[in-house]
Amino acid sequence: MIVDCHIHLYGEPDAVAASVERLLPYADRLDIAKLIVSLGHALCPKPDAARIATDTEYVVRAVECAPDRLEGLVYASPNHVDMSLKLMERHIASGPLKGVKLWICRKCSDPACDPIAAYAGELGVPILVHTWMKSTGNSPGESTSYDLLELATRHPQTAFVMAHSGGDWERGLRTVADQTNICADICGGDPEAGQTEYGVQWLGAERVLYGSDATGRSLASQLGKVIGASISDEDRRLVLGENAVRVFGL
Amino acid sequence: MIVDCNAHLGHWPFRDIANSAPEQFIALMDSRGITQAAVATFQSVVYADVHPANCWLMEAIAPFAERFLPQATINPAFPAWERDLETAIAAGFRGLRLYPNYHGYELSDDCMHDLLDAAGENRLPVTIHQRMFDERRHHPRCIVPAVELSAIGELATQYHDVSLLLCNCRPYQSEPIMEALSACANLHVDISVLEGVGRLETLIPQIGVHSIVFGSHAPYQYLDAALLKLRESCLSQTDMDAIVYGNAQRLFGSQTSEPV
Ligand SMILES: [Zn+2]
Repeated sequence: MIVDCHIHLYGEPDAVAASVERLLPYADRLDIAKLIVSLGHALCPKPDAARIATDTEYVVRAVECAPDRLEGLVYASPNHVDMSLKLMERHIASGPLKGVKLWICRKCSDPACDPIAAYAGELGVPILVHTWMKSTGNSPGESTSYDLLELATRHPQTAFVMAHSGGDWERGLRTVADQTNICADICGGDPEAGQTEYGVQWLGAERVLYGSDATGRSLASQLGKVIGASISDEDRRLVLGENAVRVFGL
Repeated sequence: MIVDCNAHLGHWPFRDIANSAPEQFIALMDSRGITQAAVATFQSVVYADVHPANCWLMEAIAPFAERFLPQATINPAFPAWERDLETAIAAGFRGLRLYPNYHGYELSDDCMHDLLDAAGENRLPVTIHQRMFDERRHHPRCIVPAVELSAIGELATQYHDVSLLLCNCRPYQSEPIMEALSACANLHVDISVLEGVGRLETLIPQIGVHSIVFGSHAPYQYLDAALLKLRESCLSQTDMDAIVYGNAQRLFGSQTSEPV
């Protein structure tokens, strides 16, 4: 089973069903069985408390449109910890969502993220954390693999998924190689050959996950990173979906 | 039958690339059903004098000559490039590759006009790589901005008898490039870095299927990434054939092998 762990649905805020209907035929053609959705109808890098609530509710509605195909994450923000914890309680502890997304409003190494990380650990759900290291310069609140390593070291009971393998994936994957509560998704960069093999080499196949960062990216260009990798069929099954099933408790 | 219009062989200075030796790349092509590939060399992107890289390529692919459409890298901003071109024509190269950002010139520079004049006289298609890879991933001391393509429409119109191919380009990010692609029959783009769900499917009505060719940017990129785009998008058989070989045969001349 193929699970895409990194999807953002873009579209009109009140037309989530249309966005879901638009996406699924493409997933069908590539045999992607499940897709894990995060953030809202449009990218909001510095959301206020109300916005993480409406974005999370957008994700809940998406999941309700296709409960057998879509899973979702709470959009948490270290700038709005109370609201983040409330959303996790409402939509994970007492709802259908399977984890938490942290994006770029503040670096994830910031102690403000601690209550979110601790509660995710209590709930037994992972946190998908955006990471990039850009030679052209990160945005101020953008986490690197080093930031995630700090957070994950402080919260050994919480599972983390390092989105984009750190962007600079050779550096990113090496940074977290020994931190076993961090997995990495392969998504969101051009399909540079070698990335998936490098993840399997440094983290082990059970800690590498397929994701696409569609709908901005193509499902196919990112799936090609796994289908095209020189790894064993057993490892490929892990990366394509078995790991996501385990990590997100699908 | 699939013709890959965007491939490199040889040595890339910034990281280890698997399958970049000719025999390995042939094995990759065979395993994925690629009939032919238009290839230049990685090293020519960063060499000042590209000529030795062209010579290496011809020698390296000689045992597999019918599988490759060798592309000579030319740097029209380098002294006496005309001699490199002469040698390349004599050696049997099937087209020219340009890396204006790495070689330090603009599309609007005089040298570009000289090169296109020569390409027209010799009936050689010209491929322009807009970038080699994501600038955010460049070596921090070697950040090379992408080629500024806004002059491409003017060039394609002026040199309408020269076949032009843009590689590693997302045309939908620039209105002038989209306009040029839909207006100029001699201008093409490859699918190697198209992104967005079903992007290929939406691009066809926007610029016309005859402007689009299959290019993977392998082995720098996974060949499967481009192949899966053909499956992600819903394509008619006619459009599929045009993209995977028909347009490439027109672009690179009629000598490509028959469909198998
Ligand atoms: Zn994302």
